[in-house]
Amino acid sequence: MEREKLEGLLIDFIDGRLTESERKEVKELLSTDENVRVLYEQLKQVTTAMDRSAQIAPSARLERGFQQMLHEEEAQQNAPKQKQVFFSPVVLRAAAAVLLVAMGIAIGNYVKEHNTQKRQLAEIAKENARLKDDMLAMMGDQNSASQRMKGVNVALTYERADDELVDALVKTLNEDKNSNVRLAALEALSKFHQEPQVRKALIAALSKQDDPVVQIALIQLMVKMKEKGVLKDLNRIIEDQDAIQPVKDEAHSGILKLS
Amino acid sequence: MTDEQIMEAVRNGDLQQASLLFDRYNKRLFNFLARMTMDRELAEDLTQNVFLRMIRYRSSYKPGHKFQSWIYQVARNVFTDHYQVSKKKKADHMDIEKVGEWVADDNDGHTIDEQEKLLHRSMQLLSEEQRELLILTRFQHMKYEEVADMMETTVANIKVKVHRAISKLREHYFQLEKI
Amino acid sequence: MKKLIVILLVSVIAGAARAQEYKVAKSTGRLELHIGRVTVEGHSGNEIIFTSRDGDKERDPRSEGLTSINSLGLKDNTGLGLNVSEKGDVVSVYNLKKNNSPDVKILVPKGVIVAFEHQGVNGGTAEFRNMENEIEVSAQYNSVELENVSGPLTIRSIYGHVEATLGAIVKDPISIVSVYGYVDVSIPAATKANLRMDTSYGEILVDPKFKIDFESSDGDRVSGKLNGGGVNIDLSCNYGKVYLRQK
Repeated sequence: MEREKLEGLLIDFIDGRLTESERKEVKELLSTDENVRVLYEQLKQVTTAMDRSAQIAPSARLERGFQQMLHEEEAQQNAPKQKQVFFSPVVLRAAAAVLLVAMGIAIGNYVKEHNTQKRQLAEIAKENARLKDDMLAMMGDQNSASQRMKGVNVALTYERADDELVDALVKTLNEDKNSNVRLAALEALSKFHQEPQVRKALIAALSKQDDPVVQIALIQLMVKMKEKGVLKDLNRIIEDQDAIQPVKDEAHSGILKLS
Repeated sequence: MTDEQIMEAVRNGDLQQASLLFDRYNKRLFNFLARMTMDRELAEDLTQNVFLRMIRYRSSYKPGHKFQSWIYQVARNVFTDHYQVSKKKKADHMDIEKVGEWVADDNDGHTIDEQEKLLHRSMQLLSEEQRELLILTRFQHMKYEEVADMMETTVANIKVKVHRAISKLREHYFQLEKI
Repeated sequence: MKKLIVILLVSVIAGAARAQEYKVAKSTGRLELHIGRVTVEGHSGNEIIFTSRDGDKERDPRSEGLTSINSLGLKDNTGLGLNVSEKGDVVSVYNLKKNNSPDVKILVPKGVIVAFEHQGVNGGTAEFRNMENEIEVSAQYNSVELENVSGPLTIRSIYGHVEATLGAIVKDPISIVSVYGYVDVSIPAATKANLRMDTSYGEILVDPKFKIDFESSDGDRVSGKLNGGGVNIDLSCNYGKVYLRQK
């Protein structure tokens, strides 16, 4: 009998999943064939070890963390109600009581606004941080080029790029194994080319870039940015034996336009 | 109340009910993530993350869908996402020696025998897919039907893969034993 | 006469036995093809099935009992002129002969990401049909034909052209780049998409029946929303033309 089929049969036998006649067949094999018996013993040993394996208990930290998280989520959900809680610390109540009713209400409203805004900003910041983490996670998906591209496309919706994002985009531009994803990263970076560190990174990328499709797009971008600093790199590309013809042609054209 | 009914209530805004689901599932999910990561502290963080997503993304739960399948899928996503963000290759990250430490130090005070250490070292040599299937079917005692539902495939497919995983495990285990 | 019948019988049996197939049980993960040409089709099974379309080859009697192996140390472990290996979640496929790719058809379950990569000069066409999978192509000389696919697609060829017809379901993103070749894509009229089409030295040709909400275009690029916007569709050529048709 084929090895794989035999093992399957033995495992089902151990789990008690066989029919009467199948069980008989296995018992027959076990009694007549030494090798089958050894295999059976071994399979039984590992499966029993797995079945017996004790459940591990999480520490008290887990439940505490969960309760805290639950409270925060509920708070976020009930934000309007919370305004009133903030509204009445003892000091303010005392102040409101002392001042004329009209003034008291005015002060109360001012504090309410201020605290609400602060909390809203904090919540927005937290949400943004979470979204950014999600985006960076997508950009790092080694299994799927489309996920990496989606992550990069999210960066396109940003108005400004911080260092962490720029680094991630530059890394993608220089190292991603998929040309299309690299192009998307270039697209995103070109949006921020006003920022000096992005400009620097783009110029540096030209000398590192080895993907012809990206080289061409990068040269075109340099021309658009009127970046004369790359003339040296363009000349190098024309001399470079490894660069393919369309890239060299683009470099020629770039030199003409930039000079 | 069934898991599905509780989750529907959560979905409709009754967040307190999430505690019930926490009570019912935290140990299981923690065990699953702990065995996948071989890192207890990390597994606690990831488990926390699973429940956070359960609440935050509650609207993505489709009413009527089997809750167990859904929550495990969230757990699997949390697991994969973690390793992508930290950009560490999963295989490199799991130190075989660390496995030994981890296994030797059980919260409930049981001493883990050599056999169990050997078992975990052998598990590390399997592919992630195989390790996951063994954890679900043999450590967590999930039925083939439940796993098939979760991974959106057939029972026959899961069964074949589990058999192959056990077969490979046996190979590694008895080779390591000789060392 | 008897001898003739015997010979015929033997060759018929031998021929029948040679309908080679190689299967890998996998319904998720990645399939990486490092071969010169291929026809890939989606199917509802849960195995990747490789078959040869070369027809019966003359079998060299001296090679009986020996395995074909190439300079990378790869063995023909499929009987199809291919080496197929699995590591973790990835199934890798390599040609045995560098300059001669066997004509192979591969059936793939929809959960597998298919990646085709070929940088050599002896490339043929890479065909993908009836697939809901994510498809990645990185090619130098190969042309790429995709029929009834949904995406996501990330496809680039330097010298080859790319033709694609998308089905009713279109998954984000669709990104197709060719340097010298043309890019010709057909999509259903009702597709909701954010279109971006670039060409440096060619032309962009679009079916006039499309109702595109054009956004500011800059020189080489045309972008706009189709049916309100949705999936990102980026088509780009340097020297070739971009064609966008209605299905």
